[in-house]
Amino acid sequence: MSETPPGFHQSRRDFISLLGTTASATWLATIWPAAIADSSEAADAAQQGQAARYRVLTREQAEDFGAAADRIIPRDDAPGARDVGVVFFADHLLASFAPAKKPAFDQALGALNDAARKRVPGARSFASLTPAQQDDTLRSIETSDAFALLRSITIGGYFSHPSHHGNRDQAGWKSIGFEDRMSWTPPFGYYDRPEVMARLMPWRRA
Amino acid sequence: MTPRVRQAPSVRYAPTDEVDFAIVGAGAAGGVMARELARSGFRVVVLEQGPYLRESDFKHDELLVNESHQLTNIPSLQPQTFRKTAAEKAERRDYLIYGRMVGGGSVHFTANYWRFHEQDFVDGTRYGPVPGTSLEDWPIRYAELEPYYTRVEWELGVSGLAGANPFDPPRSRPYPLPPLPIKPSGVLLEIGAKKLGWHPAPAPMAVISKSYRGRSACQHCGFCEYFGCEWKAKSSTLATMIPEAERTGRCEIRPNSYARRVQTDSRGRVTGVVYFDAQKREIMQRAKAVVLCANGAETPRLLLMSASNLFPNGLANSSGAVGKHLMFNGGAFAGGVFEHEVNGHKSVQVSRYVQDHYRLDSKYGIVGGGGIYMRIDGYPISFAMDALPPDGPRWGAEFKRMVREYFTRTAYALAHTTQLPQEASTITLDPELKDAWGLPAIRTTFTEHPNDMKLYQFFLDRTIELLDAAGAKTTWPFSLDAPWQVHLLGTCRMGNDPKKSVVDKFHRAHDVPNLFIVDGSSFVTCGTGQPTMTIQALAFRAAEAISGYAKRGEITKPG
Repeated sequence: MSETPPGFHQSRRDFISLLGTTASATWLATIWPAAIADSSEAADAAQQGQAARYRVLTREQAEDFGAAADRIIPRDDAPGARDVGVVFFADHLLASFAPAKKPAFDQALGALNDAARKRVPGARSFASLTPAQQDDTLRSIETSDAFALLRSITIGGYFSHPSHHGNRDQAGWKSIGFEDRMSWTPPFGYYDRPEVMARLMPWRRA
Repeated sequence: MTPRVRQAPSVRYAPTDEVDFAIVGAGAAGGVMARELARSGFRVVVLEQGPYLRESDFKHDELLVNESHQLTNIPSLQPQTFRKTAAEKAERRDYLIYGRMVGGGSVHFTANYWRFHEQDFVDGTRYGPVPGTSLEDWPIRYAELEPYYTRVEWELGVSGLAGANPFDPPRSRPYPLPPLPIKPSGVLLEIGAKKLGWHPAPAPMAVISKSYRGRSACQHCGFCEYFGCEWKAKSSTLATMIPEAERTGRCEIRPNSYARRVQTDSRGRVTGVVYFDAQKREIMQRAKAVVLCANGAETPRLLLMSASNLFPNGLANSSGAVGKHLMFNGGAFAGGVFEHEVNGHKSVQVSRYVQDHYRLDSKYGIVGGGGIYMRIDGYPISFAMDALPPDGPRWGAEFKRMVREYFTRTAYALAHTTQLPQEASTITLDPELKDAWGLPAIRTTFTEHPNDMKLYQFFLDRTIELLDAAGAKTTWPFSLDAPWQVHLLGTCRMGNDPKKSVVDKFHRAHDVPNLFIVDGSSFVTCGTGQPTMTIQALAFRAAEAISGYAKRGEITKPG
């Protein structure tokens, strides 16, 4: 639960917590062109069914982050976070255009594992917990910067343009009824259908 | 229509060429000034700090526009500081967002084009002195600006329906284009507003509903706000004024040119603009006159950075008003979820609006007023991050269920309101922090006036009321605290008294005859949101006056 409700305008584009802190949302700026240029490589590998090879994440980190992401956006009748490639998104993010954020990410996973061991003494890792234990663990840190960073990267990976390695097959978009098109025609939804408008807006006939 | 391919500038001037006008800023105002002055036969260079992007550079990619700042100021290069009062030390905070590219903010804006009303120019008279504010009348009236509003509508392309809004001020011509189609949020607004006895009307939008002047009609892709329009249907200056300025063969748009000082001579006349080029080389463009169109933050900053022996407090600042009276417009907003699909992500953001509360009845004891409309305000990432009810789940199965249910069914009611000018709200140079070019960072000092917090609360109550009346299943308010600001206004206000204002009613600096300032900084009061159209009406009017001065030989010595 956020301690600070989103402010005026904030919901519209201010997802600075993609960084986990308010430090700066600007780290993409200087290196973005490079990120665009090499964005297809890992996605291709994944889609060709090759074994996951990460560029900067360790296998343990990939497992812990993936497990947390799958509790943040779990699978229901739509894919979960890991299903659409958010671990690749995170790896790409930290390898290509946000290397400076790698320490914060490492710390966040460290905090996650500390919380996991506090919850289940002797636990090997967050990923080794049961889903219920994982949820308890996440709840215990859900107001922290560490959690905010993991949540932001998960949401970014689930809903970003697929060129950034997440949202594979646009599954994140499909799950909420969003479709990226260059053109739509009316009616755009339910309420602007002619028969609905005729019923709900009798003054239009006058 | 013939697509315009990327081409070399139609004309290039050497910095040592003394052009007629150097314009700083190629945004909403700069684009109009460039086109008007070039069409009047003058040689014009426009210095723009941002890049020259084309439609092919625009993408439906939230990370690109929101995180890499493709279209706006880049905080890592241009950090800012913020404090609430002058007694505090300002802290690092990127409080202001503005367009930084050829076309400026008109490229990524929502394109609401509400004219100011007669009332907006005379609030000083209406309310009298309001403690803690610098509320005053404008030196011009609506009637003087009306012909230029009409020019904005016809020369840029605005869609709307004349006479539909009973609160609209008088107009000399109808809109050139019919309204865009009503969308579900517009239907809901009409239903709610009618129940409440309000007067909804098709929203005037600077998005063309039919092909117009060689541009194709809106295709309703939905990526207006924060994004550039691939169709050129949004009437940005990038799509309208800038190419027309270049086609004169007399106007050079020079991107990646970051102004650092307006140069003056020993007589106190401006002689050109010193800027950094893309390689950070310092270059001076000579000009017979300079027009600043850099926005309400960058314009006062540039004047303050242009201090000299002759102008020790900053250029054109004998009044001390440069950087003061900063306003942003206020507002409030609430969300509501409906039974059926709203799909606000399709088509332009806004299709209906109401102005029944343009000025509140005196019984409320609140100065000011505003307008209200409905729209969705989130693309998938930003929606999932922050757009759900603030007290709802932030992660997990229920969070995901809510994002999936709400994304297509949510509408927001937004109010845009007046905000009182205050002398203590300022743009100044940060004494310590520098940008990537070594120039002083923008320091914002700002606290809301108590009246305005009451005004925003009034409008927050109305937005909830409207959503309820429209049949929302659940509604929720958002905080009235603004985490960041757009609409940068009032910091070089116009007026008849050189002791209290920076420019005269035709935008000429009181202190410097061949320096003109034409952007949101000229505003005396901020209107009820949607300032761009008024900025451009002022620009058309100023261009006519300035062109006259130049033709009569009165640029460096007033006639």
